[in-house]
Amino acid sequence: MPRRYHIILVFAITFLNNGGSAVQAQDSLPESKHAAIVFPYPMYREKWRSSIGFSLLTTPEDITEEVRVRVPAIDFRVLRRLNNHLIAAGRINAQILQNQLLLGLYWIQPLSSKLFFSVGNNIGYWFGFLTTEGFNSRARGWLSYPHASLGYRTKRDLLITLQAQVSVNLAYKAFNGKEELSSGRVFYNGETFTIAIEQPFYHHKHVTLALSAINNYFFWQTWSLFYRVDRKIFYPQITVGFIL
Amino acid sequence: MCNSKPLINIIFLCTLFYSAKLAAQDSTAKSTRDSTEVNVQQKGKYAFVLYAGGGMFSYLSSVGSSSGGTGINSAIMRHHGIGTFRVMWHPDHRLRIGLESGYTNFYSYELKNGNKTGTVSLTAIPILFVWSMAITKRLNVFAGVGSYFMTTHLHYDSKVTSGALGLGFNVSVNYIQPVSSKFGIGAEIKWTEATQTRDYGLSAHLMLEWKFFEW
Amino acid sequence: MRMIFIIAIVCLFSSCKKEYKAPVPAYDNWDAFTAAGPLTLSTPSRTAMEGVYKLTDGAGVFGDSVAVKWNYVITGADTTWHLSVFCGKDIAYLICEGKRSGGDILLNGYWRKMVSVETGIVRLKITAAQGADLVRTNGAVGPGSIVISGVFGNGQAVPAMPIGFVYDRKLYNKGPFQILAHRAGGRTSDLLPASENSIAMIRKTPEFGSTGIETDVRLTSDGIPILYHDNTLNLRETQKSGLLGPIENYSYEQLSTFVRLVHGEKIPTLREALNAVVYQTGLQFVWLDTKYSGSLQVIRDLQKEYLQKAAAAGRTLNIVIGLPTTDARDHFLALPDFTAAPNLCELSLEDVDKTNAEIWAPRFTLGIQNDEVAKVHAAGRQAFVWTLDVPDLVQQYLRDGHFDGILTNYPSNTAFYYYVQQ
Repeated sequence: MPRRYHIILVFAITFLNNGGSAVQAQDSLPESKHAAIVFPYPMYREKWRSSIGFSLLTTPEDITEEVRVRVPAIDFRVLRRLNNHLIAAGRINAQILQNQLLLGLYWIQPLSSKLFFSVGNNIGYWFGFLTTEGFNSRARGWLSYPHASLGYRTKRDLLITLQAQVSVNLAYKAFNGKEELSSGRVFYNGETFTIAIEQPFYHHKHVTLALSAINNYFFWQTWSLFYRVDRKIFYPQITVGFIL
Repeated sequence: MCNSKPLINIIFLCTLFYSAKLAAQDSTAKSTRDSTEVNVQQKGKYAFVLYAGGGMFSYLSSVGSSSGGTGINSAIMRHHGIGTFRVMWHPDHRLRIGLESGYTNFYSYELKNGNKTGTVSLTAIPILFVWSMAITKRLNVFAGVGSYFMTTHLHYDSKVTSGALGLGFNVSVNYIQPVSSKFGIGAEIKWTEATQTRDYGLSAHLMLEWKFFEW
Repeated sequence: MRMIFIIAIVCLFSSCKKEYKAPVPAYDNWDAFTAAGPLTLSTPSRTAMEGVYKLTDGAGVFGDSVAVKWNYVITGADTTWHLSVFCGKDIAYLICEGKRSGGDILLNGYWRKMVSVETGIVRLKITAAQGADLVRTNGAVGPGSIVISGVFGNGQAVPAMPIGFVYDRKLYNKGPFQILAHRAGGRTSDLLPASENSIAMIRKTPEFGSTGIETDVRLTSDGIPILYHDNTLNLRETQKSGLLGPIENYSYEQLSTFVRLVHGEKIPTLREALNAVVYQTGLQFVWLDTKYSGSLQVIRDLQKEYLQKAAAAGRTLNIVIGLPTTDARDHFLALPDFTAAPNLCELSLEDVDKTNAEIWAPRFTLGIQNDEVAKVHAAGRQAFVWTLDVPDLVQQYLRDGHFDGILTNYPSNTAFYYYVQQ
């Protein structure tokens, strides 16, 4: 691993080692309402949770060359309680030229007063279109994202979540002019690891900060640049969300 | 690809931070509310804080190629001064945001080609969006992402100054000792990385903190 | 509990970015091949040996059929022939050199899959009784008359897995068709053994099945045309030197002294590149993609010079100035002799008429456009399409389209689908 990345771990580790703080936080019962969108808090007393923010990633220069996809994607998430442990989730990632809608179900299980676990699956539908000079292209596809999350609630007001997710490509269809290229081949597309922290930001507004390491063969945001290669491509992504 | 040396460093740093934590105050008063709750009302002081400082930067990446070619491997000057300027908004919780800029000379070298000599230096001005969190009353960690304005200064036959914009980030930890209600002085260690050009290094700074506006 | 998270974070970042490499394995340790003598075949013999072969062994790795073709490169007074085998699976190819051992033909080289980084050594033989005598004596070649068999391996491992293919029919050849290699052979990300837009790549590209190349032309600050794709000096194309920013900011002397491409080559001048094409390869087509804004006179002068040199050397070669933008088109129309300057226009059909382009070259993302291609053909011009890499799309465009050439990062893939047509 490039040695410089262990410095990034310092950053992550410091968030875990919360020593004394100017803010005196207090414990609570999980039955309260909580501002958490990634952290697997059960929704005992809430019907809805939602957040709006953006995600930003960079692409490897040797693959996408001078096009590094620096335009952020709008990230809107909503959770709907079904029962004490089951939650329906929806998410929209919008980048105008390409967008993804996800729907899924999570099962949340508290393991202790501080440790929470969830497992679930999202089904994503993405679509993109590019009809500027030299392009008359459209594409769409389906992906499945099974995932598991482990959340740790610190003594203070900080929620830390570690999420492991895999991506499975279900279908792909592309059009260049009148020509169609489609594939119904289901294949393992890669994995994503995310670490997220959620905490109050100002007044009673809470914020989600997440850092993701995406390792995929095919990534929907780069559909117009290339289809897929038999090598996983690494996309570091940051996500910022304001919990509504 | 992944070797044991970074792991050893990680374990060392973990130990460091556990020690810092043990030295810090830790209140665990129990109650039925916590501030992750959606309806907790908390309004404290807000402030704008300026951090400014300078120090020494040590370039840790490589330049040129081990297969030779240009012959620049052995002539790199890796230590130069660095300046940092950061404005942070301190809301009423631990998480802060702000902007950071500064100036650093990543490296410079001299190249001989026959009877001609050329010099190259690479400088950078970061423009980063920074998040920070107070770990203890005086220990803060910062992480910034954004762009580096990189500039090549070449002198060979003619002088060329050429710029490029690249993505990058930095991570730093500082310790600030208050000297008054508005000022503090301290030290900072920072990792700077211009990811797109694979230029990175470690720096140590003396820092001045000035809480110039509060409400 | 925190330690669990710390360990988890370590795992997270341990799945970090992987550096892919596909080094050509060292295949020069086959004793029988080292001891063998030179293989001298006439041009008709080599042509007779070229064809579509059916796999008898190794089909699971390389596909059911392959296209076999000879190519050469000249170094000084020496001509080195390579036998390239283009496969139908995973954009694989084999590249071998030949020698003669008694009555047998030995073929020694390596294979590579472009969809991944798989590569390995291959050792093949054509025995005297199974085609070697036939090839050397220029006999009549028919289905089953030539059997090429041997072993292949993975990486540096000594090859031990069987591979074999049998002659089935001639290569498809229904008229001139150009298989053009993007950036002279492929991109940096394709992990080829030479840098994109380099002399080394120009010399290698015939092995990949290219009949011509596309290359990117820019000007230095002192007006020297060079081959370089990106707008700026960066680590995708060059080794780290501290020189950043637009390449046009630097003189050729500065670039030549301080900058090396990723595999260590110097950035070539256009003159050096055209010299290599004319005198060191058998390439038939050069597409000069003009990547800068400014007068095209210096490009035009070199084009004229090397078209004359190619004609004098008895070479079949066309060199066209590529016009990718309206700005390039306008600078081309400002040339005093533009009507006589061979060019390739990527813009509209009206622009093709204005510039009197020999070739119209639309992007593949606009579709097959058979109606437009028919208009181009009716005007006595040709149509190429770029940049086509996905195997299914290459098949589709060859089957359903009427283009006269394909620009691709995988010339071996296009070569396979073109030559196996019936």
